[in-house]
Amino acid sequence: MSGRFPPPEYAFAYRRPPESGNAINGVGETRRVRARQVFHASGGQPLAWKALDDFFSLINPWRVVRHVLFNTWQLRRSDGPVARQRRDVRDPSATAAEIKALAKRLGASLVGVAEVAEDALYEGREPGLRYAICLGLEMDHREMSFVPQARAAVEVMRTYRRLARIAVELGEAIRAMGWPARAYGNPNSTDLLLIPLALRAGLGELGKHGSMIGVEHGSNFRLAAVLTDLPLALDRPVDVGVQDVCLVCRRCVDDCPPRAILEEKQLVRGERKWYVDFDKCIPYFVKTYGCAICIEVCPWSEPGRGPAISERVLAVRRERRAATGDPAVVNRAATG
Amino acid sequence: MRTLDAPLERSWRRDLALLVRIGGMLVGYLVVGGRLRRRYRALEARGETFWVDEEGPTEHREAPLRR
Repeated sequence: MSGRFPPPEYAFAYRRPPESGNAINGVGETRRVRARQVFHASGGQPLAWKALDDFFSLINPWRVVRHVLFNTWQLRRSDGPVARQRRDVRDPSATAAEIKALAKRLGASLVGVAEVAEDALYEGREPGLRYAICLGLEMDHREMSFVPQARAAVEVMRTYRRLARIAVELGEAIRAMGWPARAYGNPNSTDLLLIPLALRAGLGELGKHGSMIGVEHGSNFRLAAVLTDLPLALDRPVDVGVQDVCLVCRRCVDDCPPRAILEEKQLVRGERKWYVDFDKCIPYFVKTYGCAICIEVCPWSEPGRGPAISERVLAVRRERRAATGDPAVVNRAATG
Repeated sequence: MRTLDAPLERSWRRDLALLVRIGGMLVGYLVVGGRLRRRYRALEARGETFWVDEEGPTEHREAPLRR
């Protein structure tokens, strides 16, 4: 299957390789420590893989880069003045429902609320706001079927640009209510790890390929967030059956040209979870302007298939539990 | 965190500074990036290697960071 993708051969390299990205990411680290920025980062901190990051920025085609520039411009509105008249919040659940409805009206595909916790903050970063409104926006599946070509990279950046506009407008609406809010909509420059927030906000589960998998759009969506102090009811992590499927499915593992996707969960900063080998993934990511093969070949990403997979897996799990009392998993037949 | 109560925080000066920065990014992409892309494609065609830490933009030729 992976023969249809370009081979992991590179006409670029480091003469003096930096520290392993896996070490920087905390693979094997038993303590719950903050993440360190390694590639794609913001704000003046030394970046071990900066030379490759800069090379990536400069070899991207213009039709990708123009979205990055427009996005940078629209994010000037990511923060701003807060209305002096503060709206009282007596019912955080009602306020959360109102904010979610607004986010959907603005165009978000997915919305959830989580508390900003340590695991979502890079070392040395303190956003100082309590809640994260996590936003997901579906990508055009047809355009993404062109992975790992530049056409798919254009769709990725176009999605981030649209999502950033939604985050900016949501942030402005919250500030107009008299509460501070800041939009985070730039994938290349953020203080936050969006995935831990989105997991806690119930937008999906972490898949074997290190990306989110949700029921409605599989992995075919991108993330942004608005941080705020506006009191909001929190969402909860979801269990839609992703772990059951990832334990037996090998689709992303087999289709990943540089063989970066690991079969077993790894200990990363004190937590055992799915992890992608950074040192193998990133050169291919750079060569192909963002790759994204794993998220597109994921069975959940096929339009309309996620709900059926989830329903089937959870039904099999219930049957297994009823029959054996065993809370564990499911066989391949359940995943189709 | 830059969320502030000051009503004039997002002033035209801040927007202008950002516009200048974006202009710099654009020029960098066209001029420095154009040179880099030509060199990279030439080496790629000859089956040679572009050394990102030696042949990248000047300001990025820092020593690899090790801890």
